[in-house]
Amino acid sequence: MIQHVLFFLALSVPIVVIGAFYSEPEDAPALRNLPRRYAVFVGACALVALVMLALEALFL
Amino acid sequence: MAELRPSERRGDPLVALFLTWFLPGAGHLYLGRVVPGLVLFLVVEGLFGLGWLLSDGRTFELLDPELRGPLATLLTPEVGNLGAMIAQIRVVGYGAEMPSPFPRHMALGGILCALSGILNLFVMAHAHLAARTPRSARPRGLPPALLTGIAWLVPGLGHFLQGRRLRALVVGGLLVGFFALGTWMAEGSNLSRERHFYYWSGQVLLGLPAILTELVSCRPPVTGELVLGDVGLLYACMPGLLNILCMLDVHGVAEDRWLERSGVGGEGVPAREVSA
Repeated sequence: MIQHVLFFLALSVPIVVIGAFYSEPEDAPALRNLPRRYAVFVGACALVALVMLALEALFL
Repeated sequence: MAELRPSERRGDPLVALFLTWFLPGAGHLYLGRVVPGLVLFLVVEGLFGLGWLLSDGRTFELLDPELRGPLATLLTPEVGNLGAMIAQIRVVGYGAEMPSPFPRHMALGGILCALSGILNLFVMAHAHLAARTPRSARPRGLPPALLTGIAWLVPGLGHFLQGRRLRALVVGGLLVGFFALGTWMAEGSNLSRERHFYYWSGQVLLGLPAILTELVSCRPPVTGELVLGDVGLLYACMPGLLNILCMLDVHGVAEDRWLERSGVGGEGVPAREVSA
């Protein structure tokens, strides 16, 4: 379980970095916003995972 | 997008785009650019034809039988060359009912067919922009479609040629690094289109790093249990998909600069300000 969470956290890095670069033409604001973007991405994914686990527990 | 006077317009960008999608070079012919149109037609369809010849047009037989359907090939790189892909589906489809050995150069043929689809995406972008560039304009520098193609071929190089050095370094390092890590974790099992049809389609969007690794490694056989096979597959495929965003980033900036040099920028959608 921990191993898979770590794999997810690692793969989140390029997803967030490339997403930030795509939405910000300038490098400086893109890099400055990385921690917030990373936290939002991981938090949102965790929320989706929790909802899926809850649905699985309720209906399966 | 700024409006051009009718006398300055070469044609409708969307018509040029869709014509090219169905028949490479047709968009350029529509815009009155005969020589580029014919050359691009020969290059793109030549690649597809050679690929078809080497693979007997049987690339889509690599798709798992339970995944086959009328829309199943829309997620392959060949979809960029839509007319040729439809021809392949209609003529060969998913193969005969009785299985037979694949031709010797099946994998190389599949790569060439995929490359023709990807190449035609850049031809489409070129035709779309050519329609929006004034007839009188002669902007200097690399055309945006070519820069975008370079960004696909070598992740980060498109940004580098635009003078965005830090971005180039981060993009190239992250994408190629994660692809290499994924390939190592999957022990090379990710490199086979036959084994992972759709993941391979995503992976090939990483350009040369993915294609060369496949050709040089000759798709190593799986000889034991792959402990991190699934994770490695995901790690190897994701950089290809993320490279689409990088190509769009390069193309957006390149197109803004191109239109500015053509005297079209500054109206409608403002050009993105990027420090060179």
